[in-house]
Amino acid sequence: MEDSEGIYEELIAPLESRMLRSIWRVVRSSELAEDTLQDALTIIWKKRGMVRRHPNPQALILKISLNSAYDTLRRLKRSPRQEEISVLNNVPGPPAREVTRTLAAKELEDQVLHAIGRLPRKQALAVLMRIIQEESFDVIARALGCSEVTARIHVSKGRARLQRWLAHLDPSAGKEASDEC
Amino acid sequence: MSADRRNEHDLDRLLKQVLKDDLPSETEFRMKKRLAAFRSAPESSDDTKAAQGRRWRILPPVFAQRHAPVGVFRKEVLACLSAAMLVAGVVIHLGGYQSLLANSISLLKMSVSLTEQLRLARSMDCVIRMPALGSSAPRYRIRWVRDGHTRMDVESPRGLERTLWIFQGNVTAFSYESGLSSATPPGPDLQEPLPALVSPNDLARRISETWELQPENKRHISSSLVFIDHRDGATIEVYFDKSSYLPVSLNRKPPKADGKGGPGGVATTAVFIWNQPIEPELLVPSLKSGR
Repeated sequence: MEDSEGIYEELIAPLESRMLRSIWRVVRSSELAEDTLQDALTIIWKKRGMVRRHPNPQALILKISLNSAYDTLRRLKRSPRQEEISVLNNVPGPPAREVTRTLAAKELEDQVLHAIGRLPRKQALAVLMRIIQEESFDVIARALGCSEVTARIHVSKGRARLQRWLAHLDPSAGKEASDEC
Repeated sequence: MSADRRNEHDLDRLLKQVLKDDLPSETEFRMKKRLAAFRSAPESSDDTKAAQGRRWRILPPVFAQRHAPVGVFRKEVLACLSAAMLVAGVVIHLGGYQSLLANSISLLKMSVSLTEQLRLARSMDCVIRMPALGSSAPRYRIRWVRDGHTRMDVESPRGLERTLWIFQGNVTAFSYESGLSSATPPGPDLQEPLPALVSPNDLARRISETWELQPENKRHISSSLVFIDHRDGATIEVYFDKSSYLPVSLNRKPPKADGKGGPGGVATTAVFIWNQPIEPELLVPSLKSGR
C-alpha cells in the first residue's frame, strides 16, 4: 500500500488534473472516462518500475492515459457507442432547435473521434499529444520512445490522414455549431 | 500562409474545438474518486465490479484482499478446494469405486485405436480355424497387402483345396482338385467371420459399424475387447497387442444353443501377423502361384 501511495504522490498527483482532462477530451463520456482512467492506473501500476526509470515520467504517464483513451476509441469502433445517460436526465427535454444543434455537434464529435480511432496507434498518440496536450516534439519523442524526427513524422502523417478523412467537414461550421451550444 | 499550413491550422482548430476541455464537474468528481481509490483503497470505493475485477488481478495483495469482488475466489478458497479434490480423489481411488462412464470411455478409446491401426496396416497374414467343426474342418489362410490384393487359401486335412484372389470386389478362384479357375463375384459361401477378415478395412468396418462394443470384461480389460454381432448374437473377443493396438487373435463364439444367452463354445479362431513382407506374386491369380 505504501508503494501505491508513493507512486501516487510521486508521479500521479502532480499530473492528476492533466490526466483526467486528457482522457475526457478523447473519450468524451463520463462512464468511459472513468473506466479509461481505471485502465490507465492499472497500466501505470503494472509498469511502475519502467515509469520511475523513464527520463520523462510525466510524459510517459500522459502518454499512457492517452493510450488508454485511444484503446477505448478503438473498442467503440467495434461496438456501438453508448449514449450518455446524463443526456437522458436533462428534464425537461431541450427545445427542438437546441436538440438539432446538439445532434450536429455530436455527429461532428463522433466523426472526429472515429477518425482518430482509425489512425495507427503511434500517429494517434503523437497527434493527440501535440494538439491536445501541446507537448513539444522532444517530449512526444521521449514518451513514444523514438527520435524527435520520428515523432515529427508521426504527427505529420497523422495530421495528413485526419485532413483527408475529415475533409468533408467544414471546421468553421463546426465551430459555429459548437459556440452556439 | 501556404495552403498546407492553413489546412493544418484548420485541422488543429477543429480538433481543439471538438475535443475541448470541458470536463463536467460531476465526471471530474467521480474520476477523482477512482484516483483516491487507487491511492488509498478505501472500503467505500464505489467502483464497478468490472473495474474492481481488473484491479484485483493486478494490484498488490493488500489491495487484492480488500477489493476481491464477491464471487471471485481468493487464493485460500482455491487452495482449500484443491485439497478437498485431492482427498476425494484418493478416497475414490482407495475405495475401489469405478466410474462406468470412465470405463466406457476407456473401452471406446481402445476400440477407436484398434480401428485406426487396422486402417493403417501395411499387410496382414491371418490363419483361421474352426475347431468346433472337428478335425475335418478346413483351415483358411488370408494374406492381404495394402494395395487391396487379398489371397485366401482353403486347406483341408488332405492339403490345399482352393485359392481365392480378391481384388476390387472381383474374386478369382482356383480349385486344385479340378484344376479349373473361375472368375466369380464374392461368394455367399464365405461364412462368418471370414468376410470380416478379408482385409483389415473390413474388420475395422465391422468393429466400428456392425459389432456392438460390450462393457468391461475385467479379466482382459487391458488387452481385449468384446463385441456382440447382433445379426446372429455371436460374441467376438478381439485380443490385441497393447503397444501396436493391432489384433493378435480373434475368437468368435456363437450364442448358446439353449437360448439362455452368453457365448457357447469357440467356433472360430483367427490368429494375425501384421506388417510382414508378402511375396507379390502370391497375390496375383495364377496357377503357378496358386500352388
